[in-house]
Amino acid sequence: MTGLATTTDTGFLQRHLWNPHRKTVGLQFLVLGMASGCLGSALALIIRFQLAWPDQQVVRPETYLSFVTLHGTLMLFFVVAPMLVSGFGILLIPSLIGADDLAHPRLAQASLWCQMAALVLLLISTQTVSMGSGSGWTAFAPLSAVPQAAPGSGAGQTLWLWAMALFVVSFLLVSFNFAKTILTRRDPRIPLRDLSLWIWTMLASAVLALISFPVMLMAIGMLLCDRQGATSFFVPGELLIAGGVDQHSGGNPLLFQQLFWFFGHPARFVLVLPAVGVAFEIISTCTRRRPFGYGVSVAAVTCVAAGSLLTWGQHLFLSDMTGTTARAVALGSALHTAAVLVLVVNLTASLWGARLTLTPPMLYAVSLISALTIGGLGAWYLTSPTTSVFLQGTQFIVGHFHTLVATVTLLAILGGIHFWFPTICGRQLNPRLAVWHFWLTVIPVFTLFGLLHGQGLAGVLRRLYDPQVYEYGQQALNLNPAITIAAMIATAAQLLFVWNLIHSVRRGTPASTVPGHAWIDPPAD
Amino acid sequence: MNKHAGTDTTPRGRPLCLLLFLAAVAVGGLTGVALLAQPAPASQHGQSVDRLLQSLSVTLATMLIAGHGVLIWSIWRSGRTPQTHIPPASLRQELLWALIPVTVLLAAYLGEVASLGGPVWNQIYGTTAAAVDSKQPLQVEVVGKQFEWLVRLPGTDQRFGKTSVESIHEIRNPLGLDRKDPDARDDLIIRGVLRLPLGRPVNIRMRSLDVQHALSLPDFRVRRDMIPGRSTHTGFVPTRVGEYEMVCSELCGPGHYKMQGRILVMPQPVFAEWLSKQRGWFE
Repeated sequence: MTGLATTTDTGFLQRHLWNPHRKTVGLQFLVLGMASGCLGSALALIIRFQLAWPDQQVVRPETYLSFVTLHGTLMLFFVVAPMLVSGFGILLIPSLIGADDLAHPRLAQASLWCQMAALVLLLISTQTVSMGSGSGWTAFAPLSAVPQAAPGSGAGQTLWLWAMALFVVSFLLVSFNFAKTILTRRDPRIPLRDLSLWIWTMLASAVLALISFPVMLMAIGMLLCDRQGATSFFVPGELLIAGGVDQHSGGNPLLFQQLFWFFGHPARFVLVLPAVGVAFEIISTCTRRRPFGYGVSVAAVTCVAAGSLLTWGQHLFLSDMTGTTARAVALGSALHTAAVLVLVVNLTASLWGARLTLTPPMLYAVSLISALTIGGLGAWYLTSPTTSVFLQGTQFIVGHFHTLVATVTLLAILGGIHFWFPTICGRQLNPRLAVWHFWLTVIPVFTLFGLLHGQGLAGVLRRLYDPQVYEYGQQALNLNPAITIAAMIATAAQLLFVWNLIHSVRRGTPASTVPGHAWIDPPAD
Repeated sequence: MNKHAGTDTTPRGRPLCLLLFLAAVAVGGLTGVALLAQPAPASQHGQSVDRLLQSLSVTLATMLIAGHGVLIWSIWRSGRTPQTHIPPASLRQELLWALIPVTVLLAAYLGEVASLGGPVWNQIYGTTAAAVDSKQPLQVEVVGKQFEWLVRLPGTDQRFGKTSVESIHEIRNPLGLDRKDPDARDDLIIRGVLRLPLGRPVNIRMRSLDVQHALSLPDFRVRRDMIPGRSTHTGFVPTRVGEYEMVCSELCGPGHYKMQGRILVMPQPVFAEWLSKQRGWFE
């Protein structure tokens, strides 16, 4: 607790805006994430409205694609990354390793402002003709490399690329800071084998980001050169763009895909591993036991991180991969998925035989195990080249990655906030409201992403402005209104959470006076 | 303290168990229903793709339900039994538990992904497509452009003529056929419709004129990227007469959602008759 105390003898701005203290910066990251989450959720609802009732044409086709891009970008990099990784990490890593502070407190502040600037650029991009970039978060070239290729490939795309570059820089600063803090600032009295598993996942996530994210930065730089300079890294010659012959020549669009997925595939584990760590932390605190298979879990976390650097090829089965390469990638991916499931086994075994107090954080941790199981097993369809090709480009992909990088991470963020709220604010969230919020979030979220899996298996394609155009999978489109209503309920439920936060920050029961709840105890400081 | 915690467990524990059970059953059941809802495949290898999907689904649904079963049992019994002291597991025990998912998934890889899926992959995407080796395949080129499909047949000489992007004219020469190339004279170009003879292997060469597209033929269980600057290939054997959809499954711009084409599979004599009536683009 003492590590999180802030000075109060300065002005409001100094205390809440410019203060490099980790509590201020960490909370700023959390608030930034929640604000972006409001915008990202609103965009999700617009997308879902358009899909459920395409005849209403709530947006134009190019705006729809911009909203899809913006929603994905915001949710991954401006909600999950700043909350689950940057926010929690800055607030809590020093406490859990017995350090006074991060290795570089000012650097944490710099990363925050870098991410703020990235968010501002993204918001400015919505003021362009197409209301942003229209090439999706994957930004495949040449659609993203030739400004004339589509309305969403113009200024909106340029701003998106600069925003992503700033985000990557911000995240690299955070990751460097975390890796250095964990490796050099740990209290020597805490042996490595007693470190929280969350710390191990944060370290793996940071190292993974430090290896994979610079590649994305490089790819963004090359793409910007292709767009605004005279280079042709990703654009071949002999292309007919907007009725004219494009001037690029000699580039290779597959190069961008390779670079992108070297970032994009590990990126999901940069976000998912800390989520798994949060679940381990909650479960071991609440059951008052050491997690089952501690050493095996550390090894599995390392394998998941390292494996994600080797298996990006599974996103390229569709491109031009032949038999032997596909088999090699599939085998690597199979072992990678097995490592994820080892974590599921250990999380489940950590609950075995324990007397469980299902407080709100535990509810989130247990449902996270369920989501991780569904996500891990769902990945299996995509590690097999033959079935992966059949499912690529369908709603199955949307359901699958939302289960991993939306559901698992959302449950970890909410579970983490409920778990650490007393540590950070000294008060307790209203448990009754928290339980209502849990049910109203978890049931619709599981329903909605489960149904998306089903739609994809039935052949419904993703990223379609009007899915009714196609006959194939038409029957599964009947699920769309139900999915949209589930999304609306899940979004509306977050108002309960916001109210609970606002109310409990000032009026919540002081943490130390609530008996019998292990989860309110501050982490070892 | 424990008493307080114990009374808390039951009311929330049971609904949670129920939810987890429903999540597992719903996802497993949905998978089965969705797979059964798939229209029957219209290609020779399609059966094998479906068989692999079904086989994987059974394995995964079993693992999903088994995993959730253990999870639910842990929660369910925790409210009823006193806290049991479980000695820390030995490294050997931990490794044994870790071996469960590793073994099951490796077995599934060898038994399903490699042995069932591998041959199918080679058949439709391999360098020498097996389906295409057996008989004289029909050579077809499918070209993607924002937001339509152009189909080219090589004509009687069975050779595709040269093309160049400079020669493209939206109406008069949509693929930029080289007028001087004799191979190009009898090439047929059809907008948005791919006609295929029943039972005859087809070898499709794919190109894109602008951005990346993906040729998706869901009824035939075929999907392949069309990458600007290079050509990609696939081959299969149509096994059912009918009209099917040709879809783009890679985001290619605002009109992506309506980049639709048709595939007509017809008996071989009907196809031969249709082909005999066609004239080359420059004939």
